Amino acid sequence: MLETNGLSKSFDGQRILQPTKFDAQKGEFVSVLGPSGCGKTTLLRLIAGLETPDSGRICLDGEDITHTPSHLRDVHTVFQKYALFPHMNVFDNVAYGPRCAKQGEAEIKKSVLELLSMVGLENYENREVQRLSGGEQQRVALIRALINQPKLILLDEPMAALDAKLRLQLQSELVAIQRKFKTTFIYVTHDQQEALNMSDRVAIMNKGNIEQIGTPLEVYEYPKNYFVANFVGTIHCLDASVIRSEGVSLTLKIEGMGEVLCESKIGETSGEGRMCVRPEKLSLTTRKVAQKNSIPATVKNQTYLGTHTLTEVVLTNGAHLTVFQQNSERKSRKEILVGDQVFVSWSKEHCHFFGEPTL
Amino acid sequence: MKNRSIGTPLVNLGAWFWLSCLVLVPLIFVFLLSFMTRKTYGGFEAVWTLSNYLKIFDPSMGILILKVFGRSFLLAFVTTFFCALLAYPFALFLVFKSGRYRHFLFALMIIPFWTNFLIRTYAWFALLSDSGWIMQLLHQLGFELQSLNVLFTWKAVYLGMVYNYLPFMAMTLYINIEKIDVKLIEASHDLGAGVFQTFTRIIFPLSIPGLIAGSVLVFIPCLGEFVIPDILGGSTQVYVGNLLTQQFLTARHWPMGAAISMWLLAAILLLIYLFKKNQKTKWGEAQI
Repeated sequence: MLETNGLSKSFDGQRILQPTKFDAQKGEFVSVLGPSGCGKTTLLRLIAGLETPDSGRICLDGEDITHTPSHLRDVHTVFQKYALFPHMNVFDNVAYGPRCAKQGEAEIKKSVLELLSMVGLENYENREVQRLSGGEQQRVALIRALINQPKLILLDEPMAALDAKLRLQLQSELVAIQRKFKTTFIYVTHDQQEALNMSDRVAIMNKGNIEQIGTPLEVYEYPKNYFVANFVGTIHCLDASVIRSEGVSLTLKIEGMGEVLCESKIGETSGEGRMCVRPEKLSLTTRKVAQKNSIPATVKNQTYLGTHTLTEVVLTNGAHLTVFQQNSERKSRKEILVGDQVFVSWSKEHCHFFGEPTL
Repeated sequence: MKNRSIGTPLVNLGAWFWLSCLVLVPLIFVFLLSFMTRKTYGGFEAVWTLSNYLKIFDPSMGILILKVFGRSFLLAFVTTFFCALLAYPFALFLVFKSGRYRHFLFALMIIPFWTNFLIRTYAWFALLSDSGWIMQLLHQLGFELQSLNVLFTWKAVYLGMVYNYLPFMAMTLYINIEKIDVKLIEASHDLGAGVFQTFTRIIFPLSIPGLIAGSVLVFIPCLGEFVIPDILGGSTQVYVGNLLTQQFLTARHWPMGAAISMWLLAAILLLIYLFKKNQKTKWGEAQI
């Protein structure tokens, strides 16, 4: 439904957005996730028509809108600090879009009141927007963007100014509203928990490039490169080099440790690089496990956190790993104690090998 | 709103001190003076009377004073209106379209202030006189100099007034419009408003405080202006400022001048009261 192709943008001679391909399907919730300065807001502003691209095309429902002015695009934005109009009350703010579209006042009144009650803001229509709390402002900004029923709604870090607890609540509200309206949402954030929680698909951006677009599970479990693996969630990486490869099955030599097996899904089959594995994929045993990669280590520290235990181990080459173990059983006595010699094990399907970045 | 409590008593004390020194004490003095009597050779003595105030009800003097008041208010209104009319597009241009020339253009607006006000006014005198190049140019174009006749008429006075007070309006508007959050303008475009609608629905309403502040800044001094009418109007036109200087300096009737000042003050207060009563939005309430 929305498709961008080769879209790029520079400011003051600096490339903020590299030519990128990005798309969103009808009714989809797509997050754009990346560190600050990665170009995610620029991508959003290009789609909204608030910036003009240096190159590339933007298509909405097959129609080229690259050079359509912002006010004629069927795209509305929820701005980062909401940008509610300070000289209008809640009602006039929400009614802004339909009034610009010259709808009848009676009709506008009906839909504004309907939307206000939908987000739990009954009787708020005469309030001044500056007197609202952050969460209330966010809701007003959202329904102000929704009321004209645009094809696409863009959200620029709308939760950034809110506290953590409220954020969780608003996340589920936002998804519920999105499902109800079946509008396409593009949600820019630097908060991966938000992105993974709400999205149908997540686009990971870095230095003006979209590194990977996929479902939350795909980007977490099957990262395409080292940046994505490292940016989403926690991952341990050890320097390694390929010594044998048979199809996707690689035999890696870890610096100062010995050989491990790894299945590479991204086609790296030779050279130097990193072997990466997530903490929850590791297990600790007192004996070597035959079917898995299993390397000796010493327990350095252990933290019991109720739902899970974090155990920090040191490998013989000096590298530190943290092992995440879910406390699915009640144990009166710890099996592994600080100072124990143990084996850290993981299966070859659960680790990744990324070649040296070609920078 | 924030940090209001910190240092407030001290700041208040300072504010009140200056307010009393510069406003309250002189005002009380003028107020008392207006009830006194003129001594034979100028000066005044504390013989209390209402006669200075009652002069306005005297047929000949009263009509003169009211005429002068009317003329002055008209001058102040028209000057304020034209200042706003000219300054608003300029401020808009400066904020939204001037790009990297913004500071340069702003400086151009300030530079005339480095020249003395009298010299600037006399410059207009020279420009508008029959031998000045504006008149000469118009003459070359075939206009009859006699029929143009700008200097020493109300036309020259109005021109000089708008010229002199324009920067006050322009600066106030510029500072106000520049403060408008660009995000609001973007939000307006984003929600489907074109340039015109964004102006009428967002930019203009948000600039009303600036317009009010600028108008007050222009209107009040315009009301008391006497130099420009003197120089460019050639004393053919008497405004409140001229009347007051006459009373104080020429006629040496200080109590009479003070009484006229009090009438003027009353008229201004009445005007502000009427304005505030009719004002519906909360914007600009803090400005007066």
